[in-house]
Amino acid sequence: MIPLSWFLVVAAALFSIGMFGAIVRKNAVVILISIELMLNAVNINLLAFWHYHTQKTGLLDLNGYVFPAIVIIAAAAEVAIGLAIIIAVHRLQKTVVASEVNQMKG
Amino acid sequence: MTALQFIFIFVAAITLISAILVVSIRKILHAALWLIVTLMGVAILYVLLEASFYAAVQILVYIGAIAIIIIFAIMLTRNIMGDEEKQANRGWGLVLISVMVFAVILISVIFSNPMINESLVELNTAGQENLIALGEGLLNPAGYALPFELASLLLLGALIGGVYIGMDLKGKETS
Repeated sequence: MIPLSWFLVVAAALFSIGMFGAIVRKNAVVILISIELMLNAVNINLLAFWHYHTQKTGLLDLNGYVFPAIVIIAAAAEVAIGLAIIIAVHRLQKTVVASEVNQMKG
Repeated sequence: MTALQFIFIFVAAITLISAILVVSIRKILHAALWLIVTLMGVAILYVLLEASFYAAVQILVYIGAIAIIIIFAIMLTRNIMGDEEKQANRGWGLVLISVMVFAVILISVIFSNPMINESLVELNTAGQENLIALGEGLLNPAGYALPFELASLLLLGALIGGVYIGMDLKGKETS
């Protein structure tokens, strides 16, 4: 069967790829996409540990099973607001490059 | 190597390769399409973890809703930033090196724990159904009823906020 570490390594790699994209890319939409990758990596980790804990104790562990739902809900809310902000900025300033949005710079 | 391990390696390779393409490909619309492949791979990983509910939720919420509105946003904004422009910030090589160092540290921390090499076996929880337990837990006041209701409030707030932020207020005043 599959060792627990394999899932954790895949999640760590996915998180690192998402972090690279969030730091490096200029386009705000791609930054949001990279954040989605990082949230997915977190969910893989949560479900892998849920499976491990459940097979150890033999009881369904509800705590670990509910948490990914909260993460998915937060991701959905975040992407809705993020894209609304990107479209509003695009309408007002004609840019989608994150570093060009700097009116609030002191 | 068992068949399950082979499937895992195959799916994980597809997931990671398409994730790398998402953050490195020049055309943004193609990045969104590779994102769908990545999300599908993650859904298959959920199936391998026996979390079939989350595999379905992943396909419904991420691929069905989030990927689609990301594609909408890309199509609404693509006339501003052409695909031939530079897509990466300056100094991306340095970021690549530091992210790789971060990944190596994460993986070495993972392997420093002895319990990590235990295999995940098929769950043997007789008489307990995942979905029934989840539904009862989400509606049980001693369980997760409060976070569940708060999450619905969060989604309502995001809905109203998204509509308000996305609304063309300036255009309304002038018309």
